[in-house]
Amino acid sequence: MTQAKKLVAPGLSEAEAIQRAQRGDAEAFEGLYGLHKRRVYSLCLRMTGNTAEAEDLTQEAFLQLYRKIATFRGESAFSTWLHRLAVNVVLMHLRKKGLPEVSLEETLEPQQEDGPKKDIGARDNVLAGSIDRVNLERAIESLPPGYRIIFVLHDIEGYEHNEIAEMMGCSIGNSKSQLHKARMKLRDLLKLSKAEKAARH
Amino acid sequence: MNCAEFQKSLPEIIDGAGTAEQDAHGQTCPVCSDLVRDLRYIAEQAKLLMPMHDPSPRVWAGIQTSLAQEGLVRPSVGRFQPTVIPGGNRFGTYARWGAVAALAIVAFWLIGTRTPGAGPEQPSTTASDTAGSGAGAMDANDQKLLAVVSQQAPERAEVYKRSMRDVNSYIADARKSLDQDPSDDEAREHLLQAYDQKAMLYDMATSGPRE
Ligand SMILES: [Zn+2]
Repeated sequence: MTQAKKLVAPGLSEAEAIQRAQRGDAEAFEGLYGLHKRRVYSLCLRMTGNTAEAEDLTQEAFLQLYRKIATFRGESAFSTWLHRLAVNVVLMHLRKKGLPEVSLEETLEPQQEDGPKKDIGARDNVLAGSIDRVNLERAIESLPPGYRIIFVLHDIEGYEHNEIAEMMGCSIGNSKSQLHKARMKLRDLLKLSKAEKAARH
Repeated sequence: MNCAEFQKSLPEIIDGAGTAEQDAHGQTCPVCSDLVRDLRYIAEQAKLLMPMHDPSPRVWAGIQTSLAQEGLVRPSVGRFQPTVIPGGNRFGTYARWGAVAALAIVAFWLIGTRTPGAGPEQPSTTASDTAGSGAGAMDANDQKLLAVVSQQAPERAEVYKRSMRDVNSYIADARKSLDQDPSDDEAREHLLQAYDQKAMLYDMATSGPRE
């Protein structure tokens, strides 16, 4: 899906809407909101795991968009630019809230509970084919915030470790290690929910 | 190579950057191969997750309020269109009640704009006017909007306050029905419509065509 083909309204392409919004056209801005609100909101919701916070942050992200859209130069796709802006809004908010989990450097090193011992021994049934979207969403939601943020940014939103490191102010190694722990934790959660489901039937 | 050594290098192995020795262990050890398969599977499934939910209309309403408050969108210049849910006839009496409420809001608004300075009709009762509690209770955004209206068009503030309470009651009623029966699609439509009316109210407060 290329930017030029996306339609904001009948007869109005996204590219045209961006240009008009850059000149302060409120209706074009509303069109852009309509086109991108779902993805931005989902991003905020997955990163925070909280509906009210996600709504506030979506609002803040689009307000910043309105204030900054004149500086968009088209070096990247508009959606890429907007999502980066939204991620920064969420991260800023989490920092302000002072969530200790967000400061990766502190939480990373001492935790070794995800080491190898756990998995040596009994061969559990594999997850493949057993996860549905709802299960996965729920498991992601229950991850500790630090794990969740890296997982959402890397595995769902598709950011690279170097980009995440830059946004989070941590090292690339930390980002990688945190992602691995997030996936291990998700595996535990999903196996648990699979076992619970089996027990019910 | 044993399992512990293998699992120490898992992040690289998952990324396909394992050594020949690690790959050999991964192929022969059932525990480690399950682990690798699970982790890759989780990563693959995550990539398939789509954005599923839209933000409530409250978000857009809040954006409009803030932009107006900052003076970024001026009432006489910027014009936001209220969102309209099509097919209003499907929803029975409750929806008609809602439509009446919306019309009432518009009427109040027109009265407000046509009599600048004179002040529209005064509320007949003031006892129920304290915005703090009950089904029509206002949240921080509502209060903010009313503050904007009071500043820009004080003569309309009272009308907005009342309309806001009406719409909030409508939202509360619809939400109550939906809470009682989450599968009640009609109640869900009512809730959406109620939120829409609220968005419309915000819309008119922030973009009304004033001289
Ligand atoms: Zn092994």
